[in-house]
Amino acid sequence: MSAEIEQLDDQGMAAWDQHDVEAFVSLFADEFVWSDLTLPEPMRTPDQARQYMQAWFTAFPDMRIRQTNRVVSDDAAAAEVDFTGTNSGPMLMAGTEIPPTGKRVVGKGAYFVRVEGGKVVQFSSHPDVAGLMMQLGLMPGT
Amino acid sequence: MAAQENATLARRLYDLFNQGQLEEGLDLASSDVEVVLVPFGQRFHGRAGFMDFMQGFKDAFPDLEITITNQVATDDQVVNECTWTGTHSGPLASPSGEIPPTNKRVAEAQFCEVWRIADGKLARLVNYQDVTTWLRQLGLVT
Repeated sequence: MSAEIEQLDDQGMAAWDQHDVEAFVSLFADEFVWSDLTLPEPMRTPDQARQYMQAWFTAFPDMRIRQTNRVVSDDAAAAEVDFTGTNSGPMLMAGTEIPPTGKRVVGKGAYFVRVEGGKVVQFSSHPDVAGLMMQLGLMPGT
Repeated sequence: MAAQENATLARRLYDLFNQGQLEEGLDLASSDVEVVLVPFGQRFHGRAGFMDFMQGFKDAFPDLEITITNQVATDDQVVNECTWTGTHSGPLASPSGEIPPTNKRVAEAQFCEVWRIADGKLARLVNYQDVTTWLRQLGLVT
């Protein structure tokens, strides 16, 4: 089972790195829940997943992602990732569109994925939004 | 150490933290434990550092309560996805200085911690968390 999850996870990472939205979305089961800390409600449809991914690639058209650590069990995996990208497109933050800053960032994040029947049924993503905003010069003063 | 034991170690430490038994929690960490608090770009080393990390959050949120929502464990790592709730009734140490108590409540903020376990003790902890959401709940950012 672990090998199957590793393979699925590899496919997901490659799809994200290559901005292949359809390949990424195809890894999800018919019914899935994807929670992301930047969204008030979890995503449950392929269209929501597409939209979420596209938002990243719009804000960072040259985005690349790389896994730095992975933990795999019988039915789940979790991983840490580094990503790089130039904020050369607009970004949506809490419903407000922020114009491109032109800045290059090195971001971090973690995610958790649970698999049933060879498909992703639960996914959660923890991008380091605070670190990202700081690098873009968008972190409001605290 | 078996995967299940690592998952249990994490549960025990979160329980002790919830109950304010920080000294007992400290005993579950190795003497050269390293903590990385990703969103703040902070690192804590050794027992004293780990105590500072725990105490920092407990001082700011004395009633802080962590709930584990997902775990993936192997024989040397455990990843914990959690939510936390707490009232900001003490001073909050932030990278940009101390923030006086707002007495507002943080509800269901998310974090994800990647733990490395060596010789039955916590050796390294990387914390990813949704800082912007809880700072917003406290009214500290817009």
